Amino acid sequence: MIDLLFLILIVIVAYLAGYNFISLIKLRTNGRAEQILYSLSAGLGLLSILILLLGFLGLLYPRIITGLIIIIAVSLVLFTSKSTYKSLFGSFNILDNSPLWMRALIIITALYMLYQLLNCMTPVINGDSIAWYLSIPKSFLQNHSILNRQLTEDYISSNLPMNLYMLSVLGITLHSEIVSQLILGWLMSVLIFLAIYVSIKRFTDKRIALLTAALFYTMPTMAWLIYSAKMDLGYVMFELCFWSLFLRWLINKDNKDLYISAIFLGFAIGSKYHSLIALTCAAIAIFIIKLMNKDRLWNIIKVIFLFSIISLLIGSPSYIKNMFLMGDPFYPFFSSYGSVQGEGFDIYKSLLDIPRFIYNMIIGKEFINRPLYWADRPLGFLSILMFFLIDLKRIKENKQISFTIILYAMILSMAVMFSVWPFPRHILPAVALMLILFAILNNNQIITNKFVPIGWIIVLMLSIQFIPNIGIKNIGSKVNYLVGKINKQEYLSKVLFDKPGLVHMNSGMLKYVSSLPDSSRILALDYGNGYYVDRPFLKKDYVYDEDNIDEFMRKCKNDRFTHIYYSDTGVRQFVENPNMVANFIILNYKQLYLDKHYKFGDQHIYEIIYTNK
Amino acid sequence: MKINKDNIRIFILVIWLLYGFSVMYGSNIIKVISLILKSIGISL
Repeated sequence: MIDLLFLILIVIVAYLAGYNFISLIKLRTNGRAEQILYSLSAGLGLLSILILLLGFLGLLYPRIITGLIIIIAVSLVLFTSKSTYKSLFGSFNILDNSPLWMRALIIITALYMLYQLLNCMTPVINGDSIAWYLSIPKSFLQNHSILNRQLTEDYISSNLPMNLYMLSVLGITLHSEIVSQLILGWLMSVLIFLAIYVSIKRFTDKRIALLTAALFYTMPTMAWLIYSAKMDLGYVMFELCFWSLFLRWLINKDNKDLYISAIFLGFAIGSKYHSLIALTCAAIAIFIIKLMNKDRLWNIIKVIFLFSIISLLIGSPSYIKNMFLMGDPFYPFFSSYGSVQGEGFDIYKSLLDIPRFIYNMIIGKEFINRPLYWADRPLGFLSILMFFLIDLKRIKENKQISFTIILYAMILSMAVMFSVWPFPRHILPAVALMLILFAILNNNQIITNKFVPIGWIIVLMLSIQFIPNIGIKNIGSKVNYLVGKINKQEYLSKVLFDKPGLVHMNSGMLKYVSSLPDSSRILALDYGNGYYVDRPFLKKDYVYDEDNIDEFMRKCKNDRFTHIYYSDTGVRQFVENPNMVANFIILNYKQLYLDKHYKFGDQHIYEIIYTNK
Repeated sequence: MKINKDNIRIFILVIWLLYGFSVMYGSNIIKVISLILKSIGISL
């Protein structure tokens, strides 16, 4: 429960900081939802940049971060007027005139949101999160700095944009990785819900806005991202804040809105490389729309320049760090595609594959490569239901909005489709914008009496979709953990470390690894889920690719590995996968190069012997 | 009933909902039904 209190603390600090910031830049908000969305989003963006600056200065010490948060919290509470909070508390009357089925759907979604909150209050077990997205912030904290050459070599993901890593650092520092999960998973998902609602309600009926936000929130793709400490939702949230203000600019053509939207785009650019695509599309859209409005070319260039500069400046700290450490501000965006390349994911080769790509994204075919990768979950057939209710006449009334959204959705989808990771989570901002467009172009039939029977069918289907979404397999352990019957260690042992069939390092092995010298570095032959492991526990491509033992040993020595770890189950999963070549050359030379064998269950660890050849 | 564009849209939506649901969750539902039938002694 204490993790939830820390989340509330962060929300209050971020809200107050963001509220003061948006007041300073004179961002107009219309209603409570907009005020909460833009204040919290700006506050989280500012906090992440502040911690990033501490990282540059080598000041990532828990006491400094906690002290700074306390100072900010106290000064914000003292210097913020009471009216800031008053406007937040009032009655909700959005659902008053809604059909019963719609109320049922919204109530089910609210309960699901609550369930996901409880879910996120349990320890993190998501594979990517413990392999990368928590291990890297943990390493930043251990080094007290973000500038560490060893780390850039150990984890290629440590070179990705840093804003969201910094929020993860904040969570781990204040209390635990569970707070990071609550921020990056649950809080971001709620803000995405708000961003979609806010974007639509400016153009059409609030009930349709609410329904669309609910359809997006309950997609299977969202379900596992919410219950994780991954980066996807944070970047989608910042990007949707940007797009919601950009859509407002398309209506009022007030350049101030455009420049303020660039700040949120900057936060997104500092969170994931994909947002550079949004910047490109926005610049193209500004150019074409202003040209059609017969603005002077020089003025257009000035506006685009200022817009781009603001967003790039706000997003720049991560890129400066990469420039400083790697000599390439975008590393590894243009230089490495990671170990997934060639494992069967890059399946779309031509433009003719577009219908197949869209169908697969929605229904969930062809992106699962079991047993190695779970990959992703589909968008779901319910998410696009508004598409069937588009009133074509409304396209004419919303030409610029339709053009901008379709341009962005096409470019982002193509970029993802032809990449080696063509998964739904990578096109989420485009999906959200398409749902926003469908809602804006809606013929409002959905709120008529004629739609009631179909509405109830949708509620029934959504309820059935929730069963796989909520993941009931560990529910007993989750309840026991939340009511305090078992502690974190016991919980993790039951659902992750010692659960039969799973490949995480088991409790016995974790205990043994903790007893190894501090200088130990472990090379994983199968999986390298390192957050809960007390020593550096890493994966390297040459484990699979290298078939020359001398070369393998040279690389191991170069990376200063002292131990090798593997589990029989994990190695079998790699060897038996027809899409992979996994040499595991070292296992053929165990007697020559490996010593001091320790075994627990089906897991093994050896010390490496380096000869002076 | 007079056929107009709105009714056609709703008809296509219903087809999509039924298709999407059966493709995504149909096999699971058949599994659940067969488990229930099995528990009362009927084997498919």
